[in-house]
Amino acid sequence: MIGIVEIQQFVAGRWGAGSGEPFERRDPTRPDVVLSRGRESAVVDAEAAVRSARSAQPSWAAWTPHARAEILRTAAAIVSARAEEWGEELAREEGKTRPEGVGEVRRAAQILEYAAGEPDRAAGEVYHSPRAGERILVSRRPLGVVAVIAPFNFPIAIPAWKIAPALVHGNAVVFKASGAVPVLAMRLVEALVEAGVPAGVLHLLHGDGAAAVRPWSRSRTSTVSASPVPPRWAGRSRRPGRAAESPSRPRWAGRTPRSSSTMPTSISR
Amino acid sequence: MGGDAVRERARILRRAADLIDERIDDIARLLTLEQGKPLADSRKEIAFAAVVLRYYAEEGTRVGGTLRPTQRADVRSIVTWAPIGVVGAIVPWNYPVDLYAWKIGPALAAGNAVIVKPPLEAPLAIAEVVRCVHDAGLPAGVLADLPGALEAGSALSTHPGIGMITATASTRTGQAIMRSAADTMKRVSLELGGQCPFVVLSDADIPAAAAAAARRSFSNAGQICIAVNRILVDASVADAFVEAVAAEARAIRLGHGLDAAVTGGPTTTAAVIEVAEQHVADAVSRGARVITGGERLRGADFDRGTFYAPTVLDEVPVGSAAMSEETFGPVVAVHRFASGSSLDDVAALANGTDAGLAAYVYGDDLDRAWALAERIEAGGIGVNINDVTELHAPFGGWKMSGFGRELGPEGLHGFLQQRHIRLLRKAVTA
Repeated sequence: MIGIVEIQQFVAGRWGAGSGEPFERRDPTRPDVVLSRGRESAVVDAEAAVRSARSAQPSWAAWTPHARAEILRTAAAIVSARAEEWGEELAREEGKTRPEGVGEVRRAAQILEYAAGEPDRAAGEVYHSPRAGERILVSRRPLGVVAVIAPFNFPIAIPAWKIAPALVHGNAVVFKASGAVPVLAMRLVEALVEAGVPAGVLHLLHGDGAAAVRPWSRSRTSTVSASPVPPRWAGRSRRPGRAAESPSRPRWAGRTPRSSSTMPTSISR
Repeated sequence: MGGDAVRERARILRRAADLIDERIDDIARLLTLEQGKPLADSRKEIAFAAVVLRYYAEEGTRVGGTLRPTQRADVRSIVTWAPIGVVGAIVPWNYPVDLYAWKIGPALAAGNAVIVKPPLEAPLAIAEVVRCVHDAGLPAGVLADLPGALEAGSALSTHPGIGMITATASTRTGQAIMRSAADTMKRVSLELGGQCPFVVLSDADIPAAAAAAARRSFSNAGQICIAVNRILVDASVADAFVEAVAAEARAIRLGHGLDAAVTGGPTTTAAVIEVAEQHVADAVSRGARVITGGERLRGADFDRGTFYAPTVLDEVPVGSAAMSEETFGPVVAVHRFASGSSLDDVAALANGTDAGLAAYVYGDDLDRAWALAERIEAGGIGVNINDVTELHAPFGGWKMSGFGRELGPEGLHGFLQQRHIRLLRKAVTA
């Protein structure tokens, strides 16, 4: 990695600086080396992201699932092509070994590819009815706007396995990256934007401040997919004051099953 | 989970269903006495509870797992289901026996222990169902019955030994449960309030639609989460439709549910009537017309009970309480939309509340009715039918009506959690 990465948020189709506090991230191996810097997203940024996502989501949901999947497939190719470069960034930013970093970026590409296969899977189920002349169909609809909160320990794979299924099923996503690993979050969003995700459908916020809780405290966000790491585990948190909270619960929400980014609808008859 | 245990649970649930069928007369009498609905409706409710227990007895034996593809030839990925542990269930008073069965049937079939808080207003019929399950041979301790109020419910939702709360309740109660369940990271499944629209398109079969709307508005005194709260009717057919619904409302014979001639009972609590009165007064103050009802029933037979006349309000403007809040009583608001409105406009009207439990669409052009159904934000949509309850299909809400599903395979899987075993195989020389 050459030079310091300027961190930008991505809101309503535009890259730019957040409205919050300035921050910088250092190499955990060599704390004198600054890797990235930027501004945290503030509440106004989160509000703008959710508003934009709300307005973009219905037309995104109206795309065919296969057209949405095509974007994920393109993004997978982009991520895969840059695995060496981004894997090195990941290793520096997060502290993993280089092969682990490259491997994780490749895994993110596989996850995007896997989600792109979803439109060819079953779209619903049909049941017999005990009453003559009736049949019962169960189909699925997107939730709307999904807030994604990701931890620092897998900076690109975990965001990918939350965002990709949410997008392919027609949800808009507001992604709040971990404050510890903003570079790889930017890389994933860059790949998806380059692949053609329309403006308003995907947003990236940074920081562990007020904006972090904003999207999922808003009633207009339909669901939250979160794998937060407890603060004590987040050894490089910039906010040591939070480390005393719930230290005894190292629980980790894990993988989002594909059905959790949709809601079933039952149409009787 | 051993196969013998699964089969034994299924046997107990089937036996419990048989006992419920055998004792249906006694249970139905208690249900009518405590809850108020006519005896025929009580029998129907209890019979369906037995059907649900039998269904989950069978469904429990079909909980399998899957072998997933893996990224390495020497790895096996096995995904199975395990019970949550102890489940707390909160059951409401409007359909106590049915909703009890919807919860304990799948929760027990899945291998959980269950602690139920039945409603304070109607605990007796449930107690008889508990007796059936007990007599069917369920081991002591697996199913508990905790008749109580707020304190008991709150104790369940905060107790660290309970892994999941399933509740059918008001949205406000559901929010309180979700907040307190957060401290112990309980799984929650919440079926909450509705505000269900009933859309009548210009080509609907008017007599059939009117009868269906009236039934879903006034059955069980309107105390149904999927009750029709508001009717959105094409202005070109509104006169005939409203008159037909009003005729249905007037024909309901209210009285004591044990009287065989009665087709509608009292409200279960006096509070239901207070909300109904508020909604009627609010609508009238905004220019709505009372077509029939709109008052408590008076006279010797009614004065001691909680009787409110089945009420039809016409020309109710958007923004009225009856158009946006759950009435949960025998009042239905009719709103006329301009003939020729686009499906998108009608859908926007139907979707104009925070609730998303159920909706109904009536129209003879099935393509048009279906297209509207697919625009509606609700967990269940009845097209030319006034009930979205289906044994095999998921029942539950969108938006403020909650999440989690009951009935169908989803109703069982909600009481299970997935376990993935990833296993590396060593090479074996032949």
